[in-house]
Amino acid sequence: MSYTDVILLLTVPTILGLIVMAIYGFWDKITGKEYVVDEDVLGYEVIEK
Amino acid sequence: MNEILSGVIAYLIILIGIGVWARKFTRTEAEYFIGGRRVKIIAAALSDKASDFSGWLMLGYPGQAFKAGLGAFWAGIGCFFGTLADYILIGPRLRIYAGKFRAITVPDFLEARLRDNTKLIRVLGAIIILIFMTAYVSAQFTAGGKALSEFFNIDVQTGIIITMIVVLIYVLIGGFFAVVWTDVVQALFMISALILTSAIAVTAMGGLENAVNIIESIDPRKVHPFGGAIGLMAFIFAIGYASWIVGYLGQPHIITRYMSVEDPRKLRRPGVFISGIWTAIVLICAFLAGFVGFALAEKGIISVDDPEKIIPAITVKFLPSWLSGFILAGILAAIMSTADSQLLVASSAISRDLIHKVANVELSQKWMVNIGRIFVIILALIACYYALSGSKLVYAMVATAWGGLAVGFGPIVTLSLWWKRITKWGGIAGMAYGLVSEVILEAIIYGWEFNPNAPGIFGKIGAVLNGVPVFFINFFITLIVIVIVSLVTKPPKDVVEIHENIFVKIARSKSQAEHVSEFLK
Repeated sequence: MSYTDVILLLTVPTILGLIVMAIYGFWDKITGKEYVVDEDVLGYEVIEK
Repeated sequence: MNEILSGVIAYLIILIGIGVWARKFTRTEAEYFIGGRRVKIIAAALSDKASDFSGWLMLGYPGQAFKAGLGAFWAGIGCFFGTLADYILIGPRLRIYAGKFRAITVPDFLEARLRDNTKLIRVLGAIIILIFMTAYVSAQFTAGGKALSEFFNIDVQTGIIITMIVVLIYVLIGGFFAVVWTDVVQALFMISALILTSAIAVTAMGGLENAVNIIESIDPRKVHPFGGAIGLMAFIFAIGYASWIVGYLGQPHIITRYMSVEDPRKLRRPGVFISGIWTAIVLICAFLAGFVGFALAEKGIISVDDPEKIIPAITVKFLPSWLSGFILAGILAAIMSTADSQLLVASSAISRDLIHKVANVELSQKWMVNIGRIFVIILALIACYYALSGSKLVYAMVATAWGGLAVGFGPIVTLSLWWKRITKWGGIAGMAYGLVSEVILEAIIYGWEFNPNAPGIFGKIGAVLNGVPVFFINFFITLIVIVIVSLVTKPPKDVVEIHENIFVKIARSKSQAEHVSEFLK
């Protein structure tokens, strides 16, 4: 029983987390929408040579 | 010994080499402190995790698994979901605001977002960073001292000083770019070292099941998911460990990585995948090293005088000296990758937030960078002093500093990104409450966790919430303080409008691969 407890505690939350990660990672594809990102938002600060 | 030393020296030369290469990207404050907001996503994501996981991962957390057993994995669960919460709640939105406002530090962002013309948010933010980040760096130097003392038989004090000197060299030379790219190397060292150490420990014990049986025969509570607790006490036990999750939302040295990334959309993909998978692997491996290491110690296969030295003890026992050098490099990597990021953030709190923006001292960019460097040295010396003279328990030191930053920044940053009604007075009240309450409760009454030995009414509260970190409860109180004060004050109309317009979403454009696959249909 104890060995099962160990395996369950190590794997179940990890798998749940990986599922959350996958859903978030592909949320823009799932919804078909994404944040507007333009030059102003990118805001690179670089000294040109 | 010489082979261990040469492995470590090779690793240190790589770090300093990256520092020298990165020197060309330190011409302005924006470059020195945030990499010009054009850091590659793979570097930002790995740097995020390398900065996050410190000596705590290689020493403190395995040590806790050694002492407490299976229940300690709840801390790993908290850290894994904390990492995901950072990407979901903070990452992309903070990067969008940081670009829009040209913010370099977290107080920069908060001041602009809440239109705080009193400068109180910047001052409070700088004070919170200075107090708790210096304590955090001090914990890293202590961890470095412990690791070096175990491998080279030197005293911990000398190890602390060596750790400080190496970190100082490449932070001074290369700034943010050096910190980020050394973090990438360090993240790879850390994950390799943990996979190797945990695999060796499990193999030496004849498998995980065998280890579990041995541990259960010694202390059944160590293989119980809640340390033997049931009902409400089991819930409080799990919260006590998993509460690290709320702290993720407010760690300036972690969320600054999101502000630096080249494109906010890349934080979603591939950013969260890089960080998430790396985190899941290291947390399981670090736990197994400590958990199985207890069985190894009980069987007399290894000897451990301090549970936090379990990984060095496994290494010294089972690995040839040239591989031991590699593992030591992994431990030092965890320590230095956090200390370097924290030193840079703490230095920016003085040079950027206080000197440049509060005192309005306008110097050339070159001089602002040099002032940043001077404060990196001063803060490193202060942290080193505390490491030499203070507590040597890494887990508790990290928990205290983590808590202060969690309460000081977590609620205000999260609400600033998601709630248009938050006001500067709500933010100021929340940060002031967070700072004062954490210092009083953590430094004077409890230590980092509630306990029944606290005086008066605090002891009664501690009896119920025994083991729950003070910062976990304080986080939610701070959240409530900010909401109440914001509701009785009003944000400027144009600030609300900016917030409503900045996170507009549009139909996403298809990638090249998607266009090609459509053509093939």
